[in-house]
Amino acid sequence: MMRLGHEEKALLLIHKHWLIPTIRIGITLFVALIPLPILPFLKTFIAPAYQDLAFNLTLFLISLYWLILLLGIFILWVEYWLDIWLVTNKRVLSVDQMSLFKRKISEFHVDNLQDITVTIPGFLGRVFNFGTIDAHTAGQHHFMMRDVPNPNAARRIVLDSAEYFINRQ
Amino acid sequence: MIFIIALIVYIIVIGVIGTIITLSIIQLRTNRAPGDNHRFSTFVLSVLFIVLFLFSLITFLQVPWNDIPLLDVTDILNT
Repeated sequence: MMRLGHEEKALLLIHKHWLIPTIRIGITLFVALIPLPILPFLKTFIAPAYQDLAFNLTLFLISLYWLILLLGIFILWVEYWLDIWLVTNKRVLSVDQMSLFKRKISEFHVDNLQDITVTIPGFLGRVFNFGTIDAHTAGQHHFMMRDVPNPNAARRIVLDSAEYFINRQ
Repeated sequence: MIFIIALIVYIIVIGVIGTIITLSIIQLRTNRAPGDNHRFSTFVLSVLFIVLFLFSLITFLQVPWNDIPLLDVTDILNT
């Protein structure tokens, strides 16, 4: 588990909007159903002597196909849970889970924050209230996370954290 | 002979899938953020994997591998 520093409190943990993994898992489930219509047609194309063999073999291949799709769902799941922005009272930690084992971790201290931009990508973003947060720091680096739920509230929390940190110093 | 080859290929495929899923569960546990709780959903996915694995194992054992006519493929088709 990630560890926070001394006197550091987690203020906000941001994952991608629930719609994003739901759409991806929904597509995977739809793709899983595609080979099923093959089974009733096997009798038409296969000679009677081999129909049982063809049915069992097709069923076995479909089960392997489903296992591979389940692996894909696992990878989506890992990406969803490990792709985060963690806002604390001292810093913002950005973890970009690019694939199953490839991840990029970067962070900036809230007092280095220059500006923060929220972009709503389109109709779905407006309806389900998600968007992209882009934070620029004093070192001209920028930290971006796509499909953030309620991005304006997240922006407000990051800005409040920066303001509180600067006022306390 | 075909059964042995199919069994080896099956063990390799299941081994690769199982290893990747195990590594992803370990990664989810070790890299989780403070306050995250995904144990139940990960458990459900793991159960689903075991169910699908058992289903594939049963279907694998039901296939009469040695009866597959590799050379006379045209005999299989309903022509």
